[in-house]
Amino acid sequence: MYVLQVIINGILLGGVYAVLGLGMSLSLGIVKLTNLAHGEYIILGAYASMLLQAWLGIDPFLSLVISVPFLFFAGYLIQIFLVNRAMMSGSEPALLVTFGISVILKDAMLLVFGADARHIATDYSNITVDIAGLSIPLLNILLLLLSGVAILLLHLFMHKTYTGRAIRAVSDDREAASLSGISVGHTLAVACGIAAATAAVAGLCVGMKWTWYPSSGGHYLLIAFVIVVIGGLGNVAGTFIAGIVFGLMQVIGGASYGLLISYIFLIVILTLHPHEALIRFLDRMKSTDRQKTANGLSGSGFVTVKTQTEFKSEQKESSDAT
Amino acid sequence: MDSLRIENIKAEYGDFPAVADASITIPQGGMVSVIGTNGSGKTTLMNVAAGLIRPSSGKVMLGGIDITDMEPEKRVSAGLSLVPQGGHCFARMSVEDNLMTGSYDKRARAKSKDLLEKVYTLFPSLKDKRSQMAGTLSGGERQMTAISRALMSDPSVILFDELSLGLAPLVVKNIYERLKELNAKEKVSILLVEQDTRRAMRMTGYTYIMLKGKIVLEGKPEELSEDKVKAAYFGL
Repeated sequence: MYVLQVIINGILLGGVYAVLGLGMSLSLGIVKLTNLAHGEYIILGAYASMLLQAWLGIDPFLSLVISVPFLFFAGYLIQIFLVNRAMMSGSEPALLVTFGISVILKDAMLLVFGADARHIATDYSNITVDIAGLSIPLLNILLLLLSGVAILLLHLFMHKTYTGRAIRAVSDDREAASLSGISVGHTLAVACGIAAATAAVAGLCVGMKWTWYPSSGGHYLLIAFVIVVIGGLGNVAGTFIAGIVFGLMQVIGGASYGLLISYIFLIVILTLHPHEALIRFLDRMKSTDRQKTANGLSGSGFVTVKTQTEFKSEQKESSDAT
Repeated sequence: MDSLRIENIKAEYGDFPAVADASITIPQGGMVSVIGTNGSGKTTLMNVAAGLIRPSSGKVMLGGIDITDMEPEKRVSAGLSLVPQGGHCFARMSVEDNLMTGSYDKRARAKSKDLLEKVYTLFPSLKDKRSQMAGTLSGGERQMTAISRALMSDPSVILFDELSLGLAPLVVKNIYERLKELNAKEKVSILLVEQDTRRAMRMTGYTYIMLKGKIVLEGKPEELSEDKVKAAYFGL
């Protein structure tokens, strides 16, 4: 029973971690930008929800109606006026610009809000629900639902709208995208705006789940990195699974060993590529039906980043065809 | 009125002159070709026309409007489309998503359904593979996808940069037949860049021969003798 309780807590917590990684996955996988300010966006989202709750007396979940568009426009404007220009001269200048934005935002928040620890509390923050003998915090269920909805909406947006397709096209081939009538600069900025908008959701999760300081951004940035690496760049479904894996590790390791276990896991992933072995195995299972493999490559992510194994098997396929 | 006029274009990569002086005219509903050896500046000229490269001098006129300083994406909405060398499909997107991306521009978006229908009639094999990732298609299908994506922007002029490159002769023949059909039925003006001199001259009503960044010979196919073309092509 205890084991089941731990696993369920981990999975529920995983939703929060998935949302933390979502925006980072968009920046890294699609805009090809290492946005060091993403952690500060998340904290900014937390403050936004806190202020809206205090000023308007609305439920924190309702505050997203304002904080999501607010962070979208902030992300869009920062990208179009600052980062896009830096990206023209390479990825390092862009990295430095985002580092600068991170420092400015962190100090601005310190100036405005002070160094106090903050938390978003509600009447239902401490309610637990008893399901089949397990006591589950209501908040964790709500946050997992929120994260699921956010991820689903993003997935639909990327696949069903002209703008979503344009974002994927720009990620794939910028020149061909502009030849298809897409303004690359605007589209990159929209993608960054969406990444920042997911930070508003992540900020709410962080604020309701834990306490934060103006300087907490770096901590969440690091977690976002780990989740993106585990889940694969720009891969929505992968991000969700990675979030849950990360959540499980936090719960199993507890407060003392949770992060340690996650970073050891990250090193294992980076050095031994166990996920590639898994993909290779799945490929072998699927190779009996070539058409299926081709369809399967569409994946569930908005952009499926090719691993070496996938690429090799694709090449093999095309040489088979000729 | 002429559909597209490229006037006295000069373009360089740093100090290296790629196009020294080139003028090309595509009449409304016409089909012209540009031929020349590797490195003669054909692709650069196409990229100048599509707006990917800014010329150091000269003008690009689309239907009487000067578009020399227009962004590439704006040229698409003005009705000019380039199918770049190698097609450049979005490999990690399905065929249909590739095509729909072609209709990104607001003008094309309104009629994207009709355009999609038209494109699938032109290349029925794409309809069967519409949910397949473009990266897993054969070379010919990829080229068809690229052509269809360009058509989805509802262009009045399309430039094709060496679309026969690396394709089987039978596939090329099929694609060229479709282009003829397109030109005859839809009155789309077409410019073909080719290395295959004979096919280009057979397909089009007017041919330009480029060498070292300059147009060295031009004329209707019947006016150009084989000796003259050979001499111009190789710079003899």
